[in-house]
Amino acid sequence: MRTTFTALVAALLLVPAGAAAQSQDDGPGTGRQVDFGVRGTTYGSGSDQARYQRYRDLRDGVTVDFFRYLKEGNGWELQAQANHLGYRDQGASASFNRFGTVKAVFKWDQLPLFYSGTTRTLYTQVTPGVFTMADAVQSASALPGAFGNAQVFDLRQKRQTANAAVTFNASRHTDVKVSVTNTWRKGAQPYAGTFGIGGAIAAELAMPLDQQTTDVTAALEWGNTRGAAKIAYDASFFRNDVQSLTWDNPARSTDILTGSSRGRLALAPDTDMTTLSASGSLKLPGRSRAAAFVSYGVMAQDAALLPFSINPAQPVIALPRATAQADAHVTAMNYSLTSSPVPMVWFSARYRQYEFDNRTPEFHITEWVNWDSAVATGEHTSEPFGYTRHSFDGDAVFSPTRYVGVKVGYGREQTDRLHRVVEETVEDIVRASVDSTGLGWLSVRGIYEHAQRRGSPVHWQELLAIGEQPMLRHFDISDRDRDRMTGMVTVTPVSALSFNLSAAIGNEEYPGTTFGLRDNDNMVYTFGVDLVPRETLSFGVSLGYEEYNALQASRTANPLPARTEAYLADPTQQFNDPRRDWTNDTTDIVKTFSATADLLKAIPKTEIRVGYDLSTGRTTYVYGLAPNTVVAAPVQLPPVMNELHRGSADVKYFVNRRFAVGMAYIFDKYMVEDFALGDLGGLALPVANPALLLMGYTYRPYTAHTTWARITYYW
Amino acid sequence: MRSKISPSVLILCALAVWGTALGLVSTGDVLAAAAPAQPPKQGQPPAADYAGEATCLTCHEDQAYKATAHGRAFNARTPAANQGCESCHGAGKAHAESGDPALILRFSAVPAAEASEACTSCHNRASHALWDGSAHDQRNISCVSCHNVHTPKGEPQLAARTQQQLCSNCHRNVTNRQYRFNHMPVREGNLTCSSCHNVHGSTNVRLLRAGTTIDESCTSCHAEKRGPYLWEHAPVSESCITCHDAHGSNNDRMLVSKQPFLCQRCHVTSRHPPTIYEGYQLQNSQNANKIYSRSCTVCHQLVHGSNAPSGKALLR
Repeated sequence: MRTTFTALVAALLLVPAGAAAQSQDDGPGTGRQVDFGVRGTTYGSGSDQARYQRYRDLRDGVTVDFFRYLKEGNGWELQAQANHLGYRDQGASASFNRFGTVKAVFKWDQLPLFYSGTTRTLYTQVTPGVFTMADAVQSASALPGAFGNAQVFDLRQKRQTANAAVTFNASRHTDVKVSVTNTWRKGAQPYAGTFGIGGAIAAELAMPLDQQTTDVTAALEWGNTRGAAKIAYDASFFRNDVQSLTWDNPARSTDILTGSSRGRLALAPDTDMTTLSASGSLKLPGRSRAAAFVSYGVMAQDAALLPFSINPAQPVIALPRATAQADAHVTAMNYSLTSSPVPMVWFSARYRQYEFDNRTPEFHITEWVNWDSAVATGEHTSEPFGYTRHSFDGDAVFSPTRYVGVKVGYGREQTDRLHRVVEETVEDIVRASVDSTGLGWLSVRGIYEHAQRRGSPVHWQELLAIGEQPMLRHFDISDRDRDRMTGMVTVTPVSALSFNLSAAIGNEEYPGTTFGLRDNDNMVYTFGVDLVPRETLSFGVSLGYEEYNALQASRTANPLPARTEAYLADPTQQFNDPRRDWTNDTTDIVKTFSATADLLKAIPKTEIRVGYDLSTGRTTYVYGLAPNTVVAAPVQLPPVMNELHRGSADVKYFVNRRFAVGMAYIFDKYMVEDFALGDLGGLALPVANPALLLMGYTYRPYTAHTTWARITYYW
Repeated sequence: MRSKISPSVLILCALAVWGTALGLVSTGDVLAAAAPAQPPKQGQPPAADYAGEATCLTCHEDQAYKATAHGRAFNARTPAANQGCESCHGAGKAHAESGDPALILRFSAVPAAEASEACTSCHNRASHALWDGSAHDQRNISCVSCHNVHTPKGEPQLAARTQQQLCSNCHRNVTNRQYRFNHMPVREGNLTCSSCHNVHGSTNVRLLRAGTTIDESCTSCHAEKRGPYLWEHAPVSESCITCHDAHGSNNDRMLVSKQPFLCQRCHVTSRHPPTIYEGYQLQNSQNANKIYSRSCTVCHQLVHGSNAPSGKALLR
């Protein structure tokens, strides 16, 4: 292959010399174009080829990377296009538009996701979703000896999407649209299953995917300069052909009451979602516009429930009901009014309501099976989460001149929740911004926002009942004070040169609790220079610095006896001992650098594009203990490092008005050090006494060079 | 917690208001606007205030638009099929005769709202229907801030070659995240910013294109996670971005923090979560399976919800 590739490259490079006398220096602009080429990739030693091709297919071979066809007639247009034909990331589309009458579009798209080409497993998938392992291997002592027999397999999935849409122009201002989209998701993704905590062996698995989603949309839309209206029906049907995952226990091959030879878990069930919506907007006097949107939807899922366990040695526990009977009704509304009664003043008011009315009956169990290995008793009831959210935003913009706009705004979001520890939260938000954009040489944008969220009542007894600290507040609904500020300045001293500087600073604090996420800060700075000395030349450089800090707090302790309030004041309980507190302080610093240079016909008949991107990340997780701690000093985890270098060059030489030849080159270099996802080399952790059977899906570095040689033909 | 007014009542009220408004205006001048005075076609003598495209091009030949979508004269909705340059810039006879730039609509010289109003006189449906009052409109951004109808560098009539380049002018801190280890397939060209966002305005938050919440937007592709499930996980019902950064992250599965630390932000005491999972255990303990690889989700795989009767701890 490599010889063929080199010969083809050489042949292509010879073409321009003989054709240089042609006069035309550009394509004919007919919209018809096709790129033929040949591509090859070389990798550095030990490179993770899958990671390089994670969302794309860069295999060696002949390529038809770019196809465009356009044909126009009297009142109609036909377009067809395709990308990466014949490869896993191929896509194609065609559209026919008879203007003023009908437009029909068909699209086909493939999106690969390549996890690993070096994953290994001791399992064999006998039917979709059922993984077995030789009985002789199913023990902690025998397992390590079998690793040499592990089968290497590609871990990948692919999403394929087909869409057909037709728009009828019923009148000059009225359209009827019908669209059907089918998405298939096939392949496998990393997954895992376990049989318990102490002494059990969890196993990584390649969960099979065979899913299909059908989305249907039908809409009637009317609009002109004075108003618009739309009614729509949207339906989405998700179907999963693999709804359970069964796998052999790596630690035992026989079933007993307290141990299972197999495990089984439920995967995503079939679901339906149907929504009816109506929306409209109306232009009113005083440069005003009112808009409304209302939708009502139903989400339903009624899959048959699996038994409590697959373990035949356990007693059969009767299911409270045979199917999930999951059902949620969703109502959404948006109303907005914008008005500019005089040119220098502009008002906006917006109200949103969203209700997720989860009507799934509670699932009450008194007996169940943990990990297919232990029958347990107690009282457990499911919590079908639901909420209603009301949001209001009001803003006023004052623009004394066309160069400046000053905005002040207020927002309020109230959320009522079902089955959460905090029943209702109210967040008040004030914001102010300044935008100066009309001056040619200077653009300034700045916004400041302060938000305060408070929740009540707090059902802290619920936390105690599950063994959690009553002072814990889940950070997504806890009290929160947040300040955010963003500023951006662009200076263009001469039309060919501009500088831009931006800064974003954010701070979040969570008052009223000593546990969980305590604060979350970020700082982002960017600086860039763009130089465009003439239309055919442009250069850009950008630098970025980002820092994210998060502090969280915990207490390593056993729950209170019976998890009752009576023991909350008992100083002998670990649960109440602040000396057992610990924190984790995360600092994530990311630096970026980008540079681009476009030389479009700066050299006759030649287009050159060059780019380079660098992103480096370093994250530290530092444990801290209380000053008078009784907890053993932890061994700090090493920092996580990521570094990506990406360079590209694309050169195209226009031989004549029909032909261009070109070369493209991509260089990717990725380096990683990750204590949790770095390559261990083996398939068990810890090696001596495995608690986790791995399949080797890890973060590994790579270096790759991809080169294309291309001929572009225009007709 | 349930709303005190029935949703159906609210819907009916809203529809009644909306329908009444439409009904009122439909008898008035709204529908009249549906049939605007037909401007003279190309090739016909210009109306009194119009100079005609040929006149415009005598001075502005570099501003031709024939190669763009606006230049398709066979489409009755395009400027080329109507008043040519003056479809957008307004009648220009006075400007042509005097040369006074103040007598013609120059998009770069008028307030952003005024520039956008000219564009939305045609682009007022589908994805453009909610431009007025949208997040970008509120920040003095006009259509021509991002689009260049005369010399576009990228589709659709963009002022930059790609959407990422264009959006990075203001959102560099977001577009930089496509270079994180875990990212949406944007830098590979399979998705663009507008795959998820409708920058012209939307009924969702954060200008999201699909649905009316962040969750609905995400599950429009990740339908397997939408549920409802028998056993649910509270943050999933709240918002996907509680745990995920959709623009990219160096953490596995685009999580906002690495596991187990992310999970320990809420699970601080109960059972094993409050354990300090540190360097010694990583090498020497069976607890290593709570730090290494999928960490907490080695066992609690079903964090998005479980349909198994024994799935209360999202283990099955």
